[in-house]
Amino acid sequence: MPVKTRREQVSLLLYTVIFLWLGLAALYFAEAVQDLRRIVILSLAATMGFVVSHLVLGKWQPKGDFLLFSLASMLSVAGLVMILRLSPGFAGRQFIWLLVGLAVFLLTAIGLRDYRKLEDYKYLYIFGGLLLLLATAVFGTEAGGARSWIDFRLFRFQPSELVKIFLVIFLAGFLEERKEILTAGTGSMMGLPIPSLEYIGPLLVMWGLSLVLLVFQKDLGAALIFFGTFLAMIFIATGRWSYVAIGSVLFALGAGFGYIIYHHVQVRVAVWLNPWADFDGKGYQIIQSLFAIGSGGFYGTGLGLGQPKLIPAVHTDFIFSAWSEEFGLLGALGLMVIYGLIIYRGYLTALRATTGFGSLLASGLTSLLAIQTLVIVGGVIKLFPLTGVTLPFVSYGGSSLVTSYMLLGILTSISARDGV
Amino acid sequence: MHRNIVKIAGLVLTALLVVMVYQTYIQVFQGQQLLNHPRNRRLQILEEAVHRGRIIDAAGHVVAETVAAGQAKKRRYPFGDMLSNITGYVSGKYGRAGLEAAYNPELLGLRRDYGWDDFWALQRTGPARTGNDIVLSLDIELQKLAYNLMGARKGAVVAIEPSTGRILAMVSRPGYNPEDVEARWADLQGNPDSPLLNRAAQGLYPPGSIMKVITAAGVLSRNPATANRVFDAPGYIVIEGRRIEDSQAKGRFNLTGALARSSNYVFAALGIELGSQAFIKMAQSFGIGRDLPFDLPAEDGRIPAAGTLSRLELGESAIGQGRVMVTPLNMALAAAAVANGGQIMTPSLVDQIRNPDGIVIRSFQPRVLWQPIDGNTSDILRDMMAAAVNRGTGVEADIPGIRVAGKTGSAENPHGPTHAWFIGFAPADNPRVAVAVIVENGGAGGRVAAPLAREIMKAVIGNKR
Repeated sequence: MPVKTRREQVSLLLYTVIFLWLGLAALYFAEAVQDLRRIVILSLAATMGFVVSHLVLGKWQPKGDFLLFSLASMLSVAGLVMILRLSPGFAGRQFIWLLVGLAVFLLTAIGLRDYRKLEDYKYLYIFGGLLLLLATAVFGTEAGGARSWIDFRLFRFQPSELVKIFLVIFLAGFLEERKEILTAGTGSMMGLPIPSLEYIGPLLVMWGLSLVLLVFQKDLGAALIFFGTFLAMIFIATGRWSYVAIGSVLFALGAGFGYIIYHHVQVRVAVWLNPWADFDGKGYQIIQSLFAIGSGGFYGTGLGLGQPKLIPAVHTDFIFSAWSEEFGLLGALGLMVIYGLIIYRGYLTALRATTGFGSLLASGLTSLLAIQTLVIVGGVIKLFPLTGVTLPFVSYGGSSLVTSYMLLGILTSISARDGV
Repeated sequence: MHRNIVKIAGLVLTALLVVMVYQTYIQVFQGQQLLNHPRNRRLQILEEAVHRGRIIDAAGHVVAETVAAGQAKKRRYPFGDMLSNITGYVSGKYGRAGLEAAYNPELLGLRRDYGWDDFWALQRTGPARTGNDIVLSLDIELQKLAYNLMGARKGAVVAIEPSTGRILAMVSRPGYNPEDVEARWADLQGNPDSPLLNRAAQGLYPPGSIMKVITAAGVLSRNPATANRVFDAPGYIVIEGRRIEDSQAKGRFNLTGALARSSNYVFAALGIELGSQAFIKMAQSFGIGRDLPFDLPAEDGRIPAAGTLSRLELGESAIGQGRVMVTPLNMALAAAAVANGGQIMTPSLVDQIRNPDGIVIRSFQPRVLWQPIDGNTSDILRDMMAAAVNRGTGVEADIPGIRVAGKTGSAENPHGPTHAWFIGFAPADNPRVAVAVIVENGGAGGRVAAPLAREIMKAVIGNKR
């Protein structure tokens, strides 16, 4: 690897670590945290985690796109500092999850020498994924209105997070195999090419099943992300807007159906249109989010000096609102620029991949990350109806953090093999 | 496939850009509104952390301050109901009103609009922060005088400095004690006399004959020579079969005489002659029915649309009856326009905002708001209004040795005896104060409102002579 890039990497890591410690100092002086010793130990562990990961990555996987990891670690640190500030009780767990996430990242990025092997077992992933969803439906526990958790006593895991990645791997393999047929089409209806049922069948089945399970679990945000990613990938594979159009119509039908049969969907939409009508009830959370963001203004209140705890569930779904209050518009846009850069590097990896499977996989994973980010950020600022999903790398939540790092590991592996 | 990836990447990054733009809109353009929303609990939290600033009158009297009451803090209003329509109140339960609401960010020291040093939260980290003081243009002695003159009657007084728009007194009767708001909330809400209503800026009344000043302004603006026109008034006027009595102004007189004697015949006829378009345009240019920028909530007044007025209604409107409604502040500004060469200055209650160290961080600058009439018209009107006080219906407003200009009104209304009105200014040739007085159902303006206005004008001129 060129010396210049190497140096840039080190400086990026340095900024990340400086932000972490400055954040801690700010929290301490703002009297937002009390147990200093515990926090210092946790932060030392996190710092070590980042440094070691950099060194290991540099030694064993020197060709991959380091920028992806540097940017993601910035997001992680932002998340850690915010969780420390918002709910110090949860911070210990989050630090442990971060270390697990880093380990998973290294395992994926280094262990997966040749990502093309993933293509061979594509049906295994989809069956694995469906099994996980089924297991959740049977053994799952309900939290926050969605039945999407499996309780392992020591910790809880949200399988749908992992299933998203399995889905993307499967779709990449499947679409790569069938893309000629899907593009050419074997029939036509109103001038649109329609592939015969035999080829598109498995796809429809998979999509329908995932949606049904998700609707059964009431996890609307995940359904939206699944489907958005699916549309992005099928467009990339075929170049046909007709799929996007038909898919959007299908989704609109599904959403309309959900709106009619599910009361909580109606509530979400009503709250999105006018949260002020039910200030103390359903609208409360989103209004508190808007209050937090608006009160932050351009420069923000400063870390530890705002009142983001007025938002219910602030450390998971609304961590972005808390960030916006305390870091202001500058901080909020800064965070979004980091996501933009990760997304940009992700699609760049897809463009440089030497195989169709690699391109589809990288662009699918990037789309997954991008759509999830857009759905939650757009939700808390009331641009879209709010669906409770996590902000990748930032929100509190082990499943989300670990799978986000797994996603990053696969992207790094693709970039390492096919160049950045 | 590469082209497709680029398209999707473009789509996704565009969506991200849209989210960023919307975030900017929420956080910066909606920010002030969201921060100051009455249900935003941040304000209460700040309220507890901050020592709220004081409200001080022009002479330095404290009219609202926060004092320690044991562990708790208490907001004290030394002048109580006399100023309740101005200060308003602060309540954890019922929010804020008056200047306490309008200047809440300043009083709490959330000066976020005014530049770089406004990291309010950072400043908050100190042990006990104090908000800013606001200094009023209002003079508590004058306020006290006007409030006491009004006595137990309902009504309002506005006294204003014509050349600047600074409000010197603004009384609304009945008032309430701002310290008792929480304890007496239900009573205040249900009280038929509406003590929470600031009658001076929010009370809508028919103007009665004081409207004739505006009708005259319309006629004179079109043709200044009307000042010399001579009228033969029969003591009544019949419009579309309806007879309006006018016995006090029977005989032969010019326009000045018509205003001095408050001739319904002349002004109803002149209003009809002027036409509804021009009449309504003139009323609006004086601010009736027009959005008024003011520190406190203010009604705009009501004026019907031009096409909807019948001949009778136009005649009635020209003498201040019918569907025209005004606030006392509206009419004080109309008097101030005549006093100030035709220019209405933006009315203002607050002279300065000072930080806790006494350093002025914002001070009030006079600004021209509207110019309904030109200098020539205002000169003619000034002499006409001076005649009304010198030898017309407003003689009770006369101050020995001072030339006073004014106009009386007795506005018919559905609630009982006429509302007594007086608008005017003094000294007529170098006006220092313009006033509007209304006593609800007080009777004749010349007998009830004019003496009250006289005392107020006398007090202002006497103070600084």
